[in-house]
Amino acid sequence: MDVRKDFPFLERGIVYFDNAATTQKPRQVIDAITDFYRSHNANIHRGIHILSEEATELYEESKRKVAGFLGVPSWRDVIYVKNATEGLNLAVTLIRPRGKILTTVMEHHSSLLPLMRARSSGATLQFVGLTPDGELNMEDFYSKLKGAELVVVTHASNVLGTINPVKEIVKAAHDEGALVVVDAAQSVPHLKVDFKDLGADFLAFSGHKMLAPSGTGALCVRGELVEDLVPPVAGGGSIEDVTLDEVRWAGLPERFEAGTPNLEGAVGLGAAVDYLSRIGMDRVRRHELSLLKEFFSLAEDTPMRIYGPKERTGLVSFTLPNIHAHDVADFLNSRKIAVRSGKHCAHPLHYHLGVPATVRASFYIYNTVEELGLFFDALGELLEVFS
Amino acid sequence: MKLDQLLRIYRKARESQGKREHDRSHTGRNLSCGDEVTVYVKLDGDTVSNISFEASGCAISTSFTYLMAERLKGRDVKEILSLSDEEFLRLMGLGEISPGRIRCALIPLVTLRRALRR
Repeated sequence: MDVRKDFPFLERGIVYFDNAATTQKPRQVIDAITDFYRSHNANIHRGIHILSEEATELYEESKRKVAGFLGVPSWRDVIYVKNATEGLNLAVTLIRPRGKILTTVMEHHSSLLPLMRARSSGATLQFVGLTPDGELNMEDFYSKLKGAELVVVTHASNVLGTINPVKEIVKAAHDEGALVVVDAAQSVPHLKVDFKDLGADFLAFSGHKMLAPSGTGALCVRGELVEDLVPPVAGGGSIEDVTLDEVRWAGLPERFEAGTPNLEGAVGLGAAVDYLSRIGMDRVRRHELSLLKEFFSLAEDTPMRIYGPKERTGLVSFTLPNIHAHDVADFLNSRKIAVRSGKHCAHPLHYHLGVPATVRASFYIYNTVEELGLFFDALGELLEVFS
Repeated sequence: MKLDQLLRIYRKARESQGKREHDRSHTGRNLSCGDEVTVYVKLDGDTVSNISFEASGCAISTSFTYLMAERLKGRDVKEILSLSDEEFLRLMGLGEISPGRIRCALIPLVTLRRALRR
């Protein structure tokens, strides 16, 4: 894919395989942020001057881009948050579950912990298990679904790469009368995601994992579910009117975006969406699949143990016999290769897998087959050194 | 930190680990990475006369546990408890540890402090 010229960070000569944590940014995104500060900076909504109007327009344009990109029927159903974590917390706070919640053992802490907190308000948690391959055990899902008021599921696992059948899950959950929250942090950057088609009630993602700046992300909502709810964070911008006696809250999405938002971040997120749309998510996916194919083929000659199913997003978590994941990452770092090691904010999943830590190599559009060659050369060296 | 030096110590550490006669023990864990260290302390009055250990985890946590056992035995309990993290790392003499691995290097000390404070 001819995108490497757009990424200034490549000049450092580092092989960056830590994209599931955060991606690097293209010139187009960096320029959009700079341009905002150079030419359009003002606070939004309340100013009757040209800069405020421009800033407001840029902010709302960013949301229209995101809504279009993700098949959200109205840009007003896109609530900007600082990341998927905040989005998932907001969703659970608004839902206020008090009954049975069904989720999975492969969740990232950011979807799991708000649910665990809900236990103190009387909610009970049940977990869908995995098949030996690392896919969701759908039989287990159906057997536990009865009586659930809320289903929370990750669209794609940040450790296993598993792509979960969210559409099927949503349909079954809705038939049971349960709401569905989807953690799309690892799917939106890598797959074509359509909010309306999936049918979910809430869907959260992070901008920084898809070329946009940190501190950006959104919770996409089915507007009618939340338009009358009291915002958990209130302040400037979240109201229609206030007297000393009462408050009339604003509509969506302002109601849930109190305070001055991350304006340059929103502009950067819009630029990232433009960039990915120009490439096309089908091509992004094809590129990652070709890297995965090469990875699996090169891995065959190594003692690497790979976790997760064959069908996956562009990431591979693995262990090497008798070498701790941190030692692997440290050695690769000495060869200018960046991977992540540890439990990847998925402790319960690692306990389930029975492994203290894994090494994760995760890919994006600027990674190449040549970089995989360097990676496996370094791995060969490492195996020799540690033998 | 020199990798070959670390690996030499790592191998020695894995060979020499094992529980010996002791008065106190404690198990410390770095939950996020799965390092686990148990230290066994033999006391002679106020002196730590011997430290033995069992360690499973990365090369750094295991090697530092071994070095700690070698270098802190024979010292006073009070003296060990007054060691700062930085002094400890300096004493182990493996050079600079990257910020991401500090927890691995300090887990033996954290565990020993717990064992001694019991």
